[in-house]
Amino acid sequence: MSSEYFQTRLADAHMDFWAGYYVASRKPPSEVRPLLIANIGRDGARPSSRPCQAAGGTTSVSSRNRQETLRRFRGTHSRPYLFFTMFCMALALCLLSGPSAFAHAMHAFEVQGGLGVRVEYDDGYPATHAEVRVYAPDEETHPYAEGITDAEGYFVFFPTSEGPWRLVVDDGMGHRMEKNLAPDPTHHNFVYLSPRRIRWMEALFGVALILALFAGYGRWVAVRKGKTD
Amino acid sequence: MHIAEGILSAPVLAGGAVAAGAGVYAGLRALDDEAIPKTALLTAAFFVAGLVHVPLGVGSVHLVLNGLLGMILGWTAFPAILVALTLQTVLLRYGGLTTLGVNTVVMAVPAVVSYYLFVPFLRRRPRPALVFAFGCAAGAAGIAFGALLASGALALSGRAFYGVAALFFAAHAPLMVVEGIITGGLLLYVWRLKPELFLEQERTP
Repeated sequence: MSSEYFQTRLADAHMDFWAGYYVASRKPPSEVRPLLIANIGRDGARPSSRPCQAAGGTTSVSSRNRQETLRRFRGTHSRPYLFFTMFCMALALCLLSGPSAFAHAMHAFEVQGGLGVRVEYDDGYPATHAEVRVYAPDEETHPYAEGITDAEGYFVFFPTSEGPWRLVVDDGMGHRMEKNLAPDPTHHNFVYLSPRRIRWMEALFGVALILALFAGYGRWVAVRKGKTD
Repeated sequence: MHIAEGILSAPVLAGGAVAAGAGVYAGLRALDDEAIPKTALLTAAFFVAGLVHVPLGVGSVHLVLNGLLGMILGWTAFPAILVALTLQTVLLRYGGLTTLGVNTVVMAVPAVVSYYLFVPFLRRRPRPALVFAFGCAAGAAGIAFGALLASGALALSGRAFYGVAALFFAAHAPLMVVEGIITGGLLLYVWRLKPELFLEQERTP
């Protein structure tokens, strides 16, 4: 391999790299720092503002410096390395385009309906991304459907018979609920967002109970002390 | 942080109940007559704080205030939290009746820890800014330690600890910030109003 070969290849590679980097970074070329080492001749693609820019194969850096740079590049830019890189890229391309290229036997139809639930916590906030398991009627162990609720707490599945279908929801943080669902053929699916609610009545009742409880406890302690004293 | 029914295994439930019982016994021994109204008020505050949803992060996240409770009540936080949790379970369907013991331990142990960690600093009469900082730390630590204990309880019942703990911390990280700020503010307020709450009596059994 002659050094001339490397110079051409590197100049090309530099240009490609440079263009790619420019597109990715969306900066004006004068502000982008090239990723490859700069002091190589014949890279006309580099912007004219760079101090070591060279025209027509002449170099603005010392020959020794250039030789040193080329020697370094031989490690990573040898011909086998380039072939291997291209092979890997081709393989990745094949793999990435796989589903659309090879999955001709699969079809998707749009469907309407289904049996859906919205899972929410007691305060009306949705249980998002909670684990859901659906058990068919008379089935205890193997779930008919598994999945997670969406970002608004919804989960939909398509029952194959009348119920009751048992739903078990678990948010992974200690909240769990079970519900039996029976699909109703006349029921139209609708989006229902319950209002965020603060349960004032329960809160007031609870606070009153707490105060009464401690008042009673204090009274009891006082009475007992009065008896023992 | 309220663990529901049907998740934990029987030994964990029993262990939680026993530990909570011991804590409540110690707390009732530490509770003297004059402290009953204060305890009642803080129990009510804890009960209501559970209704305040923090709309950040994922899952059902609400205020806990166990750091604040611990600093003011010491060991009495155990009976206070048990009472509040019982009412939350009965009235609001938080958690479950069988998991009351575990949930009490999950929230009350961090409270007692924050009492031992932070109240000694308050006895040195720090500057108000430091009081606020201690409150922030106590609030955040109460949530973090509680999340850790809850993850532990779930892990002992057969779940992968790191997965559960990661989920808990992801969900409760915003709450730690919010609760830290609220606890800091409340602590500073109580400190200015009545510093003898922290200076005078020991609240240990």
